[in-house]
Amino acid sequence: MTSLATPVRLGREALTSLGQAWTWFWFQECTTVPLEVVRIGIGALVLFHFGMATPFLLDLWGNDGWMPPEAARIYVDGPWLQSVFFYFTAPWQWIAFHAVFLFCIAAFMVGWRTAFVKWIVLIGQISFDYRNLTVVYGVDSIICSLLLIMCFAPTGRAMSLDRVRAVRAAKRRNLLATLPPYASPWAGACIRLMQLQMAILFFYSAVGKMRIDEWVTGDAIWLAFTTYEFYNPWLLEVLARQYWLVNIMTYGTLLIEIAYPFLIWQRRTRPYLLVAAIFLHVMFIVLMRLVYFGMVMIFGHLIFLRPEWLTRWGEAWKRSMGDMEMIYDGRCGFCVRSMAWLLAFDGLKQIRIRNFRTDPSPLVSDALVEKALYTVLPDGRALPGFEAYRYVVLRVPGLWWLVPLFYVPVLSRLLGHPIYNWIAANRSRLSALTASA
Amino acid sequence: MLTKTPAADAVLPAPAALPVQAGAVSFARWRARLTTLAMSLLVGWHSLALFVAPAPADSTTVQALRSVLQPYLSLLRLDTGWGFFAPVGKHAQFRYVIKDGGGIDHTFVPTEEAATSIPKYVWWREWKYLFDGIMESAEARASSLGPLLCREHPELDPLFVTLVKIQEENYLPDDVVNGKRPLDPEYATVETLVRIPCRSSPVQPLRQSIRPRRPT
Repeated sequence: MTSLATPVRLGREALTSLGQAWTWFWFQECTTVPLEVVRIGIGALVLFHFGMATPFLLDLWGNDGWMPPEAARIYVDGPWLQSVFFYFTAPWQWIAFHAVFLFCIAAFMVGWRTAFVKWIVLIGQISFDYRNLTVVYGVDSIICSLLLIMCFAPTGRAMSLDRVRAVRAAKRRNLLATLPPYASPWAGACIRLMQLQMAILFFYSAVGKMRIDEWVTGDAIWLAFTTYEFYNPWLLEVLARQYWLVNIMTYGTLLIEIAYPFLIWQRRTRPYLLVAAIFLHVMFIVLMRLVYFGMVMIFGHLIFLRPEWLTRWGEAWKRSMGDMEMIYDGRCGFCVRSMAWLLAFDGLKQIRIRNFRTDPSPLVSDALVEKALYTVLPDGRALPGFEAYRYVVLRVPGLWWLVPLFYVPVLSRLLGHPIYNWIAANRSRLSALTASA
Repeated sequence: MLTKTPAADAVLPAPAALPVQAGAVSFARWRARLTTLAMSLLVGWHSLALFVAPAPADSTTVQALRSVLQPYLSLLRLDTGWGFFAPVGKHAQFRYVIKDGGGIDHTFVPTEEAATSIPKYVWWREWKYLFDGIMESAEARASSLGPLLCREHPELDPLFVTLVKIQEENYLPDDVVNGKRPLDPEYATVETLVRIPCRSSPVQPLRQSIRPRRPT
């Protein structure tokens, strides 16, 4: 009995350790912030890229364009390679789908109804790719891979309009309410999947290169820059006279690609590998004009950002911007709802609030706050009304999208002051109106 | 010694409620286990797909795994080798020649035309790949391409359009120093792919390779 018990116990312990290692690798509770950084970046890039494709919609993907369906099907091998465009017959269907696709990418980028729109973005990207496989290259494969993982993941739980809506709903009940950041083991697993994707991509890219003579002999970069596609006379002139630079660039690329999948996982080496990989893609952008590819790869690499780095950067930003206190009228429903809306965008919690009705400010008299909202700056100065908002939107990253509105030279102040003053003067009426609505 | 107080009695659950709570705990535990199992299956499956997709297809293990994973890889567009710039190789440039109503040839190089709009500038590379695809299957696609290209230049009153491939050849550092460019005639092979009439008549395939002599 004892002779059997020992291997059974050892087996059970081994299985338990394996299970623990599996859970430790995949299911660490994590916020979705790294995924959201990738979502915003990839969303912006895909939106811009496909927005720019609008004039070519029927030329590149239409039935009467450069790739008629019968020609497209030559490249589509098997029943699993599907595109919605194969089922369209009239031009308006292409236009309608493209409009919906662009709208969904924009929604995906800002994180509005993310749980739903991300699937449409994935279907759209795959459909565009499979309808005309001659115009796609590596970057499109990378985007599909990253989008799929983002579809699996609980994206949109941070740095998104979905989050803003959730926080706003809580703050409308109580302005001091805080919503804890979303974190889950599944978010950790999806971050890990995306990290694995980037590591595998670099690994196979390096292995593929090492089997090719031009990479082994150190001449690959020369060959790349002498094709008409990447032709750069200034750079070729330098490389022709200093050929050792070609060897350094070739082997440097190989070194980064082979080191990345192994050293990116370690705490100490991750920053160096991340910087090296980003540098490599910046070089692709600058020297080879591979802007879309380079930017997509850079945002892909950002999945390796540690949440604690982001927290530290957020804290550093808060410190450098200093304390901000907004003094508002807690008796005015419109003002409270406006504050809830504003605070919902303040993900870093930079803004402190004070209701002068219950907690009068020692710096700004009640009589002044009766007329307008005030922001008290770190140096003790107080800005009223429009100027208070103008100060805040530049310093709260979640409100940066308002900067163009508040900082148009002359015009912003010219229109902003009277608009704000009118709202402040009529806030009781607006409160009644919005409350009944 | 601990004694039972009336207050303790008050917080103790009623005996009838006990089995319900135990059931709820057991259900929650099983639900957590099942959730973890489902998540594990999904990450395991997807990781396997990530490893198998770019793996060399000559391995029997990879072939066996592919037979299971192929629908997943194809449907979700994960089937890729990640072989960026392996090899870099030599590229080819697409050109077409329009013979006008007066019998004069006009050569067009789409990839070298100045971008007349931001979309054209942004999508330059995709168009370049489209032309690469045309060069690969020029004859098969001639019947649809001919009318397109002829329609692009109505002012020329086109008779024929001829698709041409300019294949790059070796270009060395000394050539740069001597002021040559990669697509100068001595570093490129010109291949006429197909001649397509602009007015309805059959496509005329051509496969003559013209290699200009490199000056000595």
